[in-house]
Amino acid sequence: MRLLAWAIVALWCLLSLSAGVLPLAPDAIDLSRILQPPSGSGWFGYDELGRPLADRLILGARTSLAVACLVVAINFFIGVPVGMLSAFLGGWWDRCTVLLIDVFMAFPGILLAIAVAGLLGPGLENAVIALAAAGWVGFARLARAQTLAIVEYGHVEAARTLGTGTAAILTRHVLPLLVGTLGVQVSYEIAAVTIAESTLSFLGLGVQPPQPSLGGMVLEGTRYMLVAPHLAIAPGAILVALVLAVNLLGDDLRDRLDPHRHAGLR
Amino acid sequence: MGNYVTTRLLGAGLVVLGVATAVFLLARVLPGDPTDVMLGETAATADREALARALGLDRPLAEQWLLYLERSIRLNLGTSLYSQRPVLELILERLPATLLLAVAALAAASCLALAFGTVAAARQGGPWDRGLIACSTLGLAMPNFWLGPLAILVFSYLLGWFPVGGIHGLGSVVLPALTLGTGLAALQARMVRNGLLEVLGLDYVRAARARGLEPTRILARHALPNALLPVFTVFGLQAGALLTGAVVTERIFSWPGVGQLTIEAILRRDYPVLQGCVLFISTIYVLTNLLIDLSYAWLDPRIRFAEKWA
Repeated sequence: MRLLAWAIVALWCLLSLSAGVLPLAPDAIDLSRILQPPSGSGWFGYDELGRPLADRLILGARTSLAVACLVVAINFFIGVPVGMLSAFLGGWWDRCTVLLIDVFMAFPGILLAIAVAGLLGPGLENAVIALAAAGWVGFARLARAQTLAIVEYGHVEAARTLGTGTAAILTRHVLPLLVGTLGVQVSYEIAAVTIAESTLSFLGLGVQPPQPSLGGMVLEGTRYMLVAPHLAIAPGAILVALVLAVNLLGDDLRDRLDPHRHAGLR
Repeated sequence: MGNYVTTRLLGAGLVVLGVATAVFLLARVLPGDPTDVMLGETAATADREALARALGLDRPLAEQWLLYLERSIRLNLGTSLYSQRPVLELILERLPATLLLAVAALAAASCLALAFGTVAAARQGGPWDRGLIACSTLGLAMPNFWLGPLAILVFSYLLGWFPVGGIHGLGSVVLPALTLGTGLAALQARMVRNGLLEVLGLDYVRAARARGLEPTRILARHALPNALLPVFTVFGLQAGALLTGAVVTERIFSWPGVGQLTIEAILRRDYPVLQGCVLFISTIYVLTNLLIDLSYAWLDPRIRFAEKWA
């Protein structure tokens, strides 16, 4: 099962990276093939303009991967330093950060992203900004909690006694112990951002047509639900498979990094 | 207890204040001029300035902020640019539908989770247990915006059991509630199962078993109440999932709730309504979490004492 998950993620990355080289024709309109169901000539059938669904799915999945990686990277590089510094410095700085985190957490789910995307207007760049605005707190909270515990360790105390500077302690003595937990979090976040981006696109706030996106394709597909259900089913199924695979990959990473964890008790 | 309640109330108040500030800043910092939206980009400069003065947009940011807070405290969320009606009125009009949907989803999810979680824990490692874990993993990865159309395809178009959308009688709540509740059910079922497994290993359960009590009775009367306490705490976080999930679910099923109002506001660029909805939903979320924290402290004395001695 986990092998399959790794394979799906690998295929996702591979297809996304090679999409520029592959002979894809996502915008090729063929009126003789409108709403054609999947067959030997087109694996996933054709959409309402006769465009090949398979090509559009690959490009949509590539957009999802690119957005997810970009957003998670931004969230990581904002959230982790803020969280670590907050825990390490303590005092008023920490209290203000915690309040800020609480305020951001008070927007349930992707409501903040919906609001930001709604105010900025639809579009891919705005969706990235919206998702990053809402997502960095997750990393900040995790990094803060972990750092609070690690700072108590003997080796950090020893480094402090030796007069090591804040930056050196955080990067050389605290960060290495955080890497495992953060790595697991990264994979879960990628899954979460993938769903969030598709949701924004489904609501018309993310990727704009004619550029293909999994969420946008589900939206377009719902209009042809009775005559061509494959239009809505295929992108959703691919999305579920990708999210499932990344989540399982995260579980796998977590179990590998934690030898004490009993495999059956999750 | 009094101390704990005061601290939590103050904290929640501070967070709501922060949320209001964030919503205020969001509309001011982000590009786009409200007067453009209201008058169109071709409007004369004089008209624009007159409107800006009427809206208080020409004053310093700090003053605008205080004014915004004062109005929000008085529950004056502004006026819709589209319908020219008070925002709060629009929200309250839509609230019953969202509440109905959320309660139905929560009820459906809880029933499913309780039933399947208990069965899975009772037969740990069996086919039911493995089936539940597989289903809940799938349920957690399933986006609402796909599940909803699939449910419509199967249960409305093909089987004709339920209406496609809107509120027409009791049947119309079934599909939206199930769509919204699936993710919750998946999470809750797993928590019920894990909580039960933990409790079933405790001494008092073993003692009950040694006294020769019936396994079903042990499960239902001895183990389940204690296993449900952690499930209850997560309700607060789930309230968030319910509220945002409602935005998507209401859109799919044309459900006339607050979520649908939010999306309509975005599509019409009706910023006061959008701001009002976001502030309203977030405040409800914070208050729900506050209530749950407080009742949890009341249910579990360890928390209020830990807080006291900290």
